Amino acid sequence: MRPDLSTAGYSGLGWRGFVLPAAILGLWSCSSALGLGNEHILVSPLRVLSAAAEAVMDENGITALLHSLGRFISGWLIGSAAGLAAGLAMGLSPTADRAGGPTFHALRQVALFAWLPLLSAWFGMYDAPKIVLISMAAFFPAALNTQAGCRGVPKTYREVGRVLELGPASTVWRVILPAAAPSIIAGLQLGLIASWIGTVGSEYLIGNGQGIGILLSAAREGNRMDLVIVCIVTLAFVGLFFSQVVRLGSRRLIARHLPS
Amino acid sequence: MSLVLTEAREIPGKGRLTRIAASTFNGLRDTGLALILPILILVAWQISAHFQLVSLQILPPPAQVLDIGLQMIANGEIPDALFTSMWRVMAGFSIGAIVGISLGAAMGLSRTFEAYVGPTVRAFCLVPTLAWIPFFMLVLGIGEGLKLAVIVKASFLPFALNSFEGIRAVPERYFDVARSFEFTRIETLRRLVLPAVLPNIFAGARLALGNAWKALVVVEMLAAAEGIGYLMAFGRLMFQLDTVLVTIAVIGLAGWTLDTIARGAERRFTRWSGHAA
Amino acid sequence: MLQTGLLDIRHVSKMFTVDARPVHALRDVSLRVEPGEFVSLVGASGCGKSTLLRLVAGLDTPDEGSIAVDGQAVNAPSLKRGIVFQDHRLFPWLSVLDNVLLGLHKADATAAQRLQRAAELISLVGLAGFENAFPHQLSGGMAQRAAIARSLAPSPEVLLLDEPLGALDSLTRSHLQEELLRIWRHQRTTMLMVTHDVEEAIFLSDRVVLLGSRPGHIRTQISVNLPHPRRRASAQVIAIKEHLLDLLAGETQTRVAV
Repeated sequence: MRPDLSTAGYSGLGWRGFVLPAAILGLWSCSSALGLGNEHILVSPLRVLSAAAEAVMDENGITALLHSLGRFISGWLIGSAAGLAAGLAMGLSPTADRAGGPTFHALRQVALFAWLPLLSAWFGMYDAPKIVLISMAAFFPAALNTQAGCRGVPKTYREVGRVLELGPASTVWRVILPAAAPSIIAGLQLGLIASWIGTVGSEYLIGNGQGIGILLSAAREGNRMDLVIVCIVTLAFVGLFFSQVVRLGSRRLIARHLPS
Repeated sequence: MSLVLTEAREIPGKGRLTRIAASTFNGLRDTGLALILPILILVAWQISAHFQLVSLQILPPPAQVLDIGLQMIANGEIPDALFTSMWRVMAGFSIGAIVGISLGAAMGLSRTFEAYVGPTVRAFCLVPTLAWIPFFMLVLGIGEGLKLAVIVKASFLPFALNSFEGIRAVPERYFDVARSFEFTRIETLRRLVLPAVLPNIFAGARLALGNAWKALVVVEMLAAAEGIGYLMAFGRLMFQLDTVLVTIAVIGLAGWTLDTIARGAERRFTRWSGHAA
Repeated sequence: MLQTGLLDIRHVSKMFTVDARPVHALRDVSLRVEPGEFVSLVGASGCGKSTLLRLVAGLDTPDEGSIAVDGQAVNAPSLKRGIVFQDHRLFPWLSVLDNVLLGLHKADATAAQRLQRAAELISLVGLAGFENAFPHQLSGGMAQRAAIARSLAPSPEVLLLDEPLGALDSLTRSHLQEELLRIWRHQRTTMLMVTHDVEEAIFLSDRVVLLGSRPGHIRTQISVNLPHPRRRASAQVIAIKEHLLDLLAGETQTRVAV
């Protein structure tokens, strides 16, 4: 009884990793070819591919994706900026933390999508409530991590600031922000993932307009399992793409200064 | 040295009474500060409702919301909905825990199993729970099976990943200790792996519970005829924003309660580890 | 050249609260360090020597008594009193050069002059060629050299050293002791160093101050009137060392001059 610990963590992606997906794909193809099961549910892999090609060719899918990305980016930017500001206020000023913290943490308890009925009543049924929700998705992790990052700056660094007679502004700019940067960036990254989920979810729940979530909802209502799978895979890859971009970007930004 | 010690001058005077007075003062000040923002919001809300700055339908007055909330508690609407929702969460969470811990443990203990299954599990992680909802809807319809599937999906991943990483993080030297004591496989599992992984599993449980609750709210808003998410969606459909505001508060409170319970369990069972929250 | 850097500590006491109980860290400590003098504080751990240094730095304030440099009372940290900590405390997100430049942020100089001054300091501590390295790329000894350069940058009148070599291995340590001596003789800054290494104190200082614990107080002072460079194996050094170690072990209180 001894786990193989030659290298801790995940193993790489070897051929063995493809066995299970291949088996699933094989089973899926066979059963759909043999007409086992409900053909609306068990669509053939070929149908999925052709649905994907169709969505790209008639530009429906591309347009939807672009609309979603537009909402996603604008919501994320707004929410991150607001979260950064709120987090800095709470992280730098104990008074602001005592005054704003409890309300902030109380609001944070509400599941994100539970705000949607209220937002759609307040901001109409089109883009505004979606973008507000996407901003909120980015706001909470950004604010939380910025606050925690500023609070977590080691006292020893602050002391160096005092010894070198750095003023308050200088201390924030030269000591606290750089020291908190890894935590802040992690917050923005979490917000990115949350925002993307918020984008798809708000589109799916509100509808109206174009977007990948709306396409997904329409595909579900039209019983188009092939299109549902195309949408799911697309949004998974978009999410993966953006978190990789941020991961690589933040590595370039901070990792070179810090020991791995 | 400066880390352990706090300066005496921070608390004026040295008497016990002065210290108690000072900490009472701090507590009162903190409570007062914490109340400023909610009171401001409440006042602005009341003013807006009083002068009808915004249509009452869009922003019902605070008193009306409170009244509706109390009514919904008294007539059993909220308790019933909460009971249904909690039951769904607990059922899905339990299945998710069993599936997730077994999968994570198998992946952690056997590198071969991990090589076959790991990549697929990680690919599965890439798709957010929310996106599975339409898929599950087509496969399972919109009955209880759908809610269960969504919550199992939402809760099983944190369990699987945390127990996997927990096992992989057990320092190798502990296994040397186990071998030097001639532990059997079962003994090694029970005396070494399980206690070492417990903090991770509890951290995973807390995450899973949060995910499960959030996923449940969405799936109930989309496809349900009872439960707290349904109550909210129905209120919105009828444009009863007082009901919507009440359900938001209930969802927040219930989420907070679940998290507090999970955090309490985490602290209680992993006190030794020192790195539990 | 007019010498500045006269440090005058008068009747200083300091209390801390540990587990809500007040503890006397220092009681009635008086010490005068002449301009350009190198003084070491030695004593058992917990005798309050680091506390005294933090008070001189202005990071903490004494409960009683006063501290002054060149007649000016100390009540806050100042660039006039540089401090080198045991952990180098370089900012990990800044290069060696930028860390040293940070010490010049208030200097009345053009950007080019600052750069030149920083480069001079970096080569003074023997780090020329490592200007663009980040702290995590440096060894412990190199990081401590960079930290010394940073604290020398504002040209402090007094340099406080809080076990600056305490975290280094013995080889690096003895090498850096010689470097520190060289830097001190070059800058002629007043030095006040906390150490628990008696030999280090004798090797470097003009005067060794022995602190007793609970509460921290000055037990005795020993002047080391030996010319530099001192040989660690010389009879005089060994004699003072034995004497100091005896004092640290026992409770004798005498004043000895060698």
